[in-house]
Amino acid sequence: MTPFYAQDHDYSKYNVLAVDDIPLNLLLVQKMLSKFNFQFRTAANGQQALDAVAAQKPDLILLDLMMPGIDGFEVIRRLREDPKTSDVQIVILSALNSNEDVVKGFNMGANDFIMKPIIMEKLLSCVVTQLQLVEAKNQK
Amino acid sequence: MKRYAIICFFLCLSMHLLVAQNNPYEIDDACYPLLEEADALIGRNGFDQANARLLEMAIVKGDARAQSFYYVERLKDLIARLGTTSPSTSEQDALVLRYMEDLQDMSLKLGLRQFYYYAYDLAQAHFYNHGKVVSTMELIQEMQQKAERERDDYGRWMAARYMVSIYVSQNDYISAKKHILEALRIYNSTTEESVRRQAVARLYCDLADTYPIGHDSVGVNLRKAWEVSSTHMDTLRCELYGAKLAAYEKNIDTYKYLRDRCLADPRLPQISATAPQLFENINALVIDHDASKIDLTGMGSRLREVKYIADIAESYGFKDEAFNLKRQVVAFEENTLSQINQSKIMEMETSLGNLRLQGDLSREQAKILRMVVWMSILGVALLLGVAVFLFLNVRRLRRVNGQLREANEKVRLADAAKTRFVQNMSHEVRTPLNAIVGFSQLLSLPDGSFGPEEKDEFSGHIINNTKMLTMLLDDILNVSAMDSGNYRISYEDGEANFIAQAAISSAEHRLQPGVRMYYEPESAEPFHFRTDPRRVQQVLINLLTNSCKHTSEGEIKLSCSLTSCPGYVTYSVTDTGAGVPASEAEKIFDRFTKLNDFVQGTGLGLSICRDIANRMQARVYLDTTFTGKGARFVFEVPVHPREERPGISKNTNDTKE
Repeated sequence: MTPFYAQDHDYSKYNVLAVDDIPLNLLLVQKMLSKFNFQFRTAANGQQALDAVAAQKPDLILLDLMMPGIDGFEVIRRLREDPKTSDVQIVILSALNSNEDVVKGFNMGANDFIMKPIIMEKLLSCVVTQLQLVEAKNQK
Repeated sequence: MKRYAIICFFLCLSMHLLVAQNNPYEIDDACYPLLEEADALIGRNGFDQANARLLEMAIVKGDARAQSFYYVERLKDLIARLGTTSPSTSEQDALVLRYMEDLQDMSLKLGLRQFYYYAYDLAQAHFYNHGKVVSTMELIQEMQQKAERERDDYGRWMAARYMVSIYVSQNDYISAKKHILEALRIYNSTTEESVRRQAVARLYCDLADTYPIGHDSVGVNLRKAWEVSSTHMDTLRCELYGAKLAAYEKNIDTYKYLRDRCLADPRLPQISATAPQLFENINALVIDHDASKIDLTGMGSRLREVKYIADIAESYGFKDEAFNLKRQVVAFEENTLSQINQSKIMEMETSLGNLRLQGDLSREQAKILRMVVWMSILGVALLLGVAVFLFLNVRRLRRVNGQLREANEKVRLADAAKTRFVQNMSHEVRTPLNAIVGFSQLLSLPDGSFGPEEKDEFSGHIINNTKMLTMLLDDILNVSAMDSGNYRISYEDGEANFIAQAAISSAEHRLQPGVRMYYEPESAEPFHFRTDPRRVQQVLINLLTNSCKHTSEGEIKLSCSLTSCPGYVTYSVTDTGAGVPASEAEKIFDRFTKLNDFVQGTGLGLSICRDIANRMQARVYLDTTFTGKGARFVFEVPVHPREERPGISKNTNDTKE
């Protein structure tokens, strides 16, 4: 079966923000998603992420949890608090792998949770699903 | 014994006179009949009840004098019951003294001084009645001393009076005279009403009696006695003595007149029971001039009177009879004296025995007391010891408890740190793993996805992260090796600048973008010293890596100095990062401790630095005096370290090095 993301679909209209304090991780995510030609932005910490969202609301945020300063959980909380950004799709990409952290992430309003090391297939299908949800919401 | 009974009679008489003079008793009217009743029952059944009724009434009426009379009557009853015939035991004597003291206590409490001496009066009569002359005298002396101390003329007067009575009864007229004069001196010099009320006529009579019958003083004193006579009894006594003197002076008419007056008086026996016989004998000599009629029957003990008869016989020319009588007197005197002395000796021996017994007892008591004192001291010492022991123990327990609590807290913290470490490890391992797994996946994508340069870059990332993962695992293995002791410092030649440069190049790839890292040596000259270059480098890399993690802008400087601390190569890592509060300066060197949990790291780096430094006699610490932005870590490596030798080292097993 051909992966659904291989279908001819224009993903370039989606604005995706990846947040991670380790540059290599950002690079990796960018390379993995390169074929979608997203409008791809990166942020190295929580504050940069919030600034980036304020500058332009993305369709999807790929968020790391462990970061110096404002951490991932705090970023989710602030985004969900603000009515303008409360509906943005958020997927957590984290090396934190305990059940408590996963449950906490979902409880705070994350839409999905992907553990590191990232399995590429999983990331792509997750991203596509999230963007389909965005599409569905936009059509309403 | 009969002699004593007579004296007792005299003493009781004087007491009655005293009471009679204070009469009525000056007590409550309701108490008076009860006192009379008790007094009448003295020495008989029913006395105790009668006396108790007196006390009860006295208390009800609040009459202090009447209360004192209760004690008076009680003492009088006791003395009466003990009688005069059988010798008293020491228990009985003690009881008398106790009752006496009860009465005295009461009199002191109530301020009735007369009863105080009256108690002596009664008690000494008891002793005298039982032939205890010494005890009697002691009691009177005690009374006299007390009176002297308190300057109480009444007491002194009474004491003198009793002494007179005792010496007179013993026919010791020389001693008696001394006390008569003393009593008279007190009487004449005092202003004390209670003394002034006393009759002194008898004293003058007794004084007259102390002189030989022909002496001038006899007449003088009798006249004085006559002058001060205030009662019928005194007058009668003067008449009796006057008759004797008249007979001696051959003043027959006066003698007859006085004799008849005396014999006509019904109270004569109260003064002298033997007066009629005395007159009979005087008559025989003075009127009948017949010495053969002299009859001394019933007068045997009246030595003074026998002597007097002898004197008269002499003055009337009956030389032989006088001589015989005087011989009798002398013999009797000797006999009496030896008797008296005998009894005195016996009494003294008894009291000496008692004293000796008391001495033994008190020695025993002293021994027991000493034992008790020692036991008490021991007991107190023991108690003190126990108290101190308990105190120390409690303190020790409290300290141990504190230590346990501290240890427990440490264990709890260590446990929490370990849990955090496992979580951190998981995260730390996943970070390079993420890169390795991720870029590997990209490399394995079908051709066309990425160009060859990109693929090379991916491979580079994979290799780098594999190195990082290896380093991380090395860290963990280092910690584990240090914990198990399989960790050795191997000394060889090292060069200070070279080590630093190598550390810089190893740590550079951890730099955050825009941050500069450089080495600033004090001198470019090579400096060789004996050390373990790999360990030094490891410490420096850890310090630099640590700075990289916390420095997002500015620079990280590694410097090296040979002069700032003599004998040491001093490396320092200065960054412009987040900095460390001074309060955390030591805590950050603890294992698994991270100031910020969301900064990557195992929390092992600094603790490994500290462990290595300790093993190399080096020092690594946070420079808390550093005031710039960021932090400054100092690492001082000794130039001449004491090298661990395998034989001495904690661990001779070096398989893991």
